[in-house]
Amino acid sequence: MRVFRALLACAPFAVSMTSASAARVAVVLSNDSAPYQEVYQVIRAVLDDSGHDVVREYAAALPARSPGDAKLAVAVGVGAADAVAAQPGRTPVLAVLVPRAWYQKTGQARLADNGRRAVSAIYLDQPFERQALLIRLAFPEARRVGVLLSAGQRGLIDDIEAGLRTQKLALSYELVSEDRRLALPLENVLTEADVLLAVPDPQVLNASTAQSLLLTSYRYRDPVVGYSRSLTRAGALLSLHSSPAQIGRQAAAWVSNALNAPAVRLPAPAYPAYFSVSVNEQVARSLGFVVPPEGELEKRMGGER
Amino acid sequence: MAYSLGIRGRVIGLAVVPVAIVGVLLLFQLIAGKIQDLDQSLRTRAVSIARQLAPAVEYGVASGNIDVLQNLLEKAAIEPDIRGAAVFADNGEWLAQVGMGAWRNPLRDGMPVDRIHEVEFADRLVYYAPITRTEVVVDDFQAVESGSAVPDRRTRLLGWVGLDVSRDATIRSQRKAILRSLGILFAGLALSLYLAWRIGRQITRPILALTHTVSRIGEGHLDARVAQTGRAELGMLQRGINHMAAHLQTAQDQMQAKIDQATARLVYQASHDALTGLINRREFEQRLERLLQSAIQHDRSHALCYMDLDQFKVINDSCGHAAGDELLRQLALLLKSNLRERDTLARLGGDEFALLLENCGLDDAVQVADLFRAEVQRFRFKWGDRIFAVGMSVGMVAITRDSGTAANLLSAADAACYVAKDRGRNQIHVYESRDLDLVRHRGEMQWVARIQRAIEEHRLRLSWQAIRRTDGSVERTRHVELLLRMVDEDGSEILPMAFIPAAERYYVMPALDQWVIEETLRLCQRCAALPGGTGHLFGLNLSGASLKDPAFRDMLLARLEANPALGPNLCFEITETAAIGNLSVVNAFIEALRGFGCSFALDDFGSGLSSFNYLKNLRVDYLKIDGAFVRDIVVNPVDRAMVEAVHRIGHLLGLKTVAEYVEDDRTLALLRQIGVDYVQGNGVHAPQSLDGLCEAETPV
Repeated sequence: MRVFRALLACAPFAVSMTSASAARVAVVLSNDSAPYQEVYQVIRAVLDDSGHDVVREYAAALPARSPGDAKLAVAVGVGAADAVAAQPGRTPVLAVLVPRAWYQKTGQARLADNGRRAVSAIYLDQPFERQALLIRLAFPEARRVGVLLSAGQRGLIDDIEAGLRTQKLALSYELVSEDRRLALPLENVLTEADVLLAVPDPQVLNASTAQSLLLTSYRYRDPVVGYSRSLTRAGALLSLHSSPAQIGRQAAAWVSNALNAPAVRLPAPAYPAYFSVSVNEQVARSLGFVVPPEGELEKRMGGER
Repeated sequence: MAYSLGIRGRVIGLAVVPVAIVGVLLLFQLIAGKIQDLDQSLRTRAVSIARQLAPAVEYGVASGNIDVLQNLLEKAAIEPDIRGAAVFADNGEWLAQVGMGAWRNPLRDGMPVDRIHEVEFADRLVYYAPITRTEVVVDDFQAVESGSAVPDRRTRLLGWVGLDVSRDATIRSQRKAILRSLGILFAGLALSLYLAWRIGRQITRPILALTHTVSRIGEGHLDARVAQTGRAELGMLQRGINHMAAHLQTAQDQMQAKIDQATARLVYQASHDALTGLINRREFEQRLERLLQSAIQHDRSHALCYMDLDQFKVINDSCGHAAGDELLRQLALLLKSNLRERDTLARLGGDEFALLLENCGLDDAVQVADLFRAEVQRFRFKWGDRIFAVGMSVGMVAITRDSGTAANLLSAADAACYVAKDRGRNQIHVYESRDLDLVRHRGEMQWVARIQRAIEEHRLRLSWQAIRRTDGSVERTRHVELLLRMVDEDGSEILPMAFIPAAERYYVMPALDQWVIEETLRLCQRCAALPGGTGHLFGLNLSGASLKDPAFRDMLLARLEANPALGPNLCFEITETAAIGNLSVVNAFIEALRGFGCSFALDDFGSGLSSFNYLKNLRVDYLKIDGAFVRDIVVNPVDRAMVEAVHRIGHLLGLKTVAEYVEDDRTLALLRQIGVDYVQGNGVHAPQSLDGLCEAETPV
């Protein structure tokens, strides 16, 4: 329904671009897992309606079948993006479901192939301002937000601080070097902060470290704000994230716009336009927080479902 | 008690040994199983605790929160058998510990990181369980992770949980289980033992009673019986033993009766003579001893008679032993019928009887003995178609306090009997210590030595007596009888009747006869050597003992073979008693000697058996009529008739008759009238020494 409305919003634009004919779009999936398939389904549903031809490819099979004849390629996930980048060709590429840090650090450069290919991305990450807003809405009392980062992610600190500042939140952070134990820096951060903001950083937070990180936070009675529905299930009090469908909808809109233009042009890389909030009521109860319902939070954050 | 151990012990063994074996095996199996179960359960429990503790401490290790660890370990250590617990970091460093335990550095000792490691000690078990991170999905999209390194096993390891488990309780309960099982086993064994003992007693008690009874029966108490208690096999056994004992008792009673009978018979046989039923010598001697004692102690007078049958030997030899036995039986009956109540008649052996007359003076005794003797004399013994008269010689001795020993008495009676025999048989002779005949008899034993000495010292001599024709005519060949004389050590001459009986009795006759033959042969040779000497026919006596002696016969034949020419000069005079009993042998011998030209005369015919039957069977040339008939022929017509009868029969058989003991001319005349061929005697020619025999030309 939402997709439909989005298409309606684009309709005047499409009409004006009557010269545009049916084009071929390749959607490259990192693998056949459900989130990637969902992204593809949403894109195809939107583009089929506008008469475009959507072809599904898998990263692993890509070298055999070049997407060269496609007018536009959508790389879903880092694996797909890497595979597309390895292919020669001039087809513009839109990378979705990729971490912002990766894209900015390596992905963009590799995809652009020294500017010979037009690239853009819809990040997996949520903007820090949005996260700060969520913290503010969920924990009105919070003053200081703790962040744990690996040394490689040091560059994010300014962005985080800037985001938090919009909601008058202070930042406490610790950098975790690769060979150091997580416990001590985590405790330092938790001691100072009221809320622990989890940042997608595999060096710090991964399947192995998640439990102790969550447990330690629990012991400090600090809520953890995560970045995925999985993290909410694992023990974060709440998370801010975009679903594959939301990403897919945004991507489909972008592709559609680009194909309808005389020349294929992609917008600049951006954070997901649509997002969701997930709350772990059990954790909230354990920690003694009263958090507004997910829907209310999304609405108050201006999110659109 | 050795016998009771036998069955009872075996029953007990039978009952207890299988129980013991099964019990021990079960016990062993149970204890082994129990111990294994206990140990296994301890291990399982320890591993389970370690497995649960390891994830529980994950957070504490990851967060370095020692308090949390301490808290968890304390809770774990509450579990029974846990001695201590400890947590180690992934670098092997010790983080927290509760309770006891000597811990090792798990990293340095290379404890496994993917499983629980067990270190076993005798009294405890130590477990090291690795602590690994629990993985939690944090990303919705794998894309996020694709860029990061997949954490390896090593990075997932957080450390180790150590758990020290005591085995004391296990060992204690093992020990308890063993003790309890042993207790049950021994209780069971004791119960089995008791039951077996009870059952064994039930079995053995009747058996013991049986064995007791059997051994009593074995000891000879045949009236012993066993109580009837059972119905089964034991009952049958008890009945059987009672039956057997009853049978044994009956059999023994019967046997005892038979033994008594047999003993009585043996006693009778031991004291009686089987043939006549009279008491035997042994019993007689005992009675004699008793009488002798009574004579000595009470001054009583008794009499002992020794009785010997005359002619018994002749009957025995001529008609066989059966006849002799029958004679003895009949005589024993005859004598017994004349016995006074208190007198004892015994057969001492052969034809010898003895009579004990109790409280009987000698005079009375002589009367009794004479009665016996007369009875015997009247008695005629019939055997087949022949009738024999029997005589009895009796020797008597008084049994008084001066009689000496029983042996003395028997010897005296025997001697007296001999005297009676010697005096012509069928007489009674009473022993008197100064008896001349007895002196002679007593000297018999000395005679044997004297005869032997006389032979060795050449003090035997021959004399000769002519045998002439009754009608006075002279024959060419001179017929003489050679007579044996012995010269005593003092030079006096001893007649043969003095020493011949002793020689006959003590078996020296063959030696004497041999001497006579050798002397005669020498005489023959001497006479034959004389030129123009007349021929001689030498009559010489051969005793029965010599005739029966094979060595003597061989000797005589050998001598004749050496000098065959001398045979016709010899005429052997034998008595009919000597020939009887060996008739075939004697006849063969006679024939052999006849082959050398020897002739034969039957001597003393009429005095002994006088069986004309023998005359037919014995091949003799001369018949010499016994002098007893000839002596009184003039005054006794019976004797004359006897001589006539013998002469007539001799002539009928072709024999020449010779009359001995011709003492005077009247006898000679009568003999001549009868027709007897030859005469011999002092009235015809008195014996004279050999000197000049060969030279003597003419008869006197």
